[in-house]
Amino acid sequence: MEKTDEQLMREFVAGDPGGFDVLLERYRRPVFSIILSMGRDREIVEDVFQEIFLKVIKKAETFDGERRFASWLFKIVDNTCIDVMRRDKTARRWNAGGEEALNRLAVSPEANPDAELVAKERRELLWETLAVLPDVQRSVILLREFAGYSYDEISGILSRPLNTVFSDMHRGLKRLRETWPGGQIHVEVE
Amino acid sequence: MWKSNEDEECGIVAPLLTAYVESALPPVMTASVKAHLETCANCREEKKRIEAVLCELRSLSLLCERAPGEAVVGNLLREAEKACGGKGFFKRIMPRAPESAAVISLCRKLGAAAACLSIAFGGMIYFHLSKNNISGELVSADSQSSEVVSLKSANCYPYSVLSESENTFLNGDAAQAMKHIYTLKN
Repeated sequence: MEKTDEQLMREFVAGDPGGFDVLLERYRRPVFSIILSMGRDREIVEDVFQEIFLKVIKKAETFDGERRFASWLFKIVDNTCIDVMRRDKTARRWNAGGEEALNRLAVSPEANPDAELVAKERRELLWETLAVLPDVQRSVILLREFAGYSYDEISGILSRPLNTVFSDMHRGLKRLRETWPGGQIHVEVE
Repeated sequence: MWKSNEDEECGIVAPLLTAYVESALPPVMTASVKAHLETCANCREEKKRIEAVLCELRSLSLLCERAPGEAVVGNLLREAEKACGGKGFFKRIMPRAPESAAVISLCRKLGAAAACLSIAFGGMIYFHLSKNNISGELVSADSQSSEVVSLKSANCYPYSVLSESENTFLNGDAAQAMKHIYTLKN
């Protein structure tokens, strides 16, 4: 029978690196996908990925065995991504480049030879918007749209009833649509 | 199924619209939302807005390779091994893994049982030998001669017995040879 995340984590804390190995295999893709959604270069994405799992290693002793490991992990992911975004924000001159980026967003990426660059900028702006959403709404959007979890799985990860997750998702998207330039541009309502 | 008040219906349906668009609702709820959408223009518009945002999000999520490089994974596994090597927190919070402690405890019990068995077995052998060999005399298996051979007699034991049994052994009767050697006097 397959071991639960929590069992693996206990084994890791007890000194068995194999527990971490399995957890890394289970979560590397969803975590990586979420970081990718930030629109950073692959090298930076890999650094952030490494930073997240190093935190898992270093903070393993603080893991509460009664809690879901996935919930704890994605909280670390969320916090780290927001930190990275804020770090970058202070380092970059968003004010200078923001208006230009918004103008470029009006053009469909398919028609633009710099599609990847535009998509990258849209991702960065998406995260600017996600950062101001309530934590749980942001988590639901990230887990659903980027990590690819089902609503049932998200309900388990976040320990929230399924209907509440539906509601969180809807509210999150609504706020995203209102504040995210990418969301506004492409909405065509009859 | 839904309450007659349209606003109330919208209040119930709206939070479900994203899941409806993603075909993630249970069948019963899907049917109810679909029925409501047929009669409610506001919710149909809301549904279109949601579809547009989801489309936007998905266009961003499909463009990249979704796994970290092997080098990154390798680094992390090394870090994990290093942390488990005793330099990190493991020694402080749990000097020995519970599983390892259980194994060691089991080994100790098995060792103790083996020691007890060895002592008991040794005692039985000692008791048996001392009971049968209390006179310190050894006789040849050849009951006809009933020759008593003193254990203390270097001339008789073991060579005389061995030579006799050797002949028996060489004649092919190993069992008889063994009897010759080690049958003890009662």
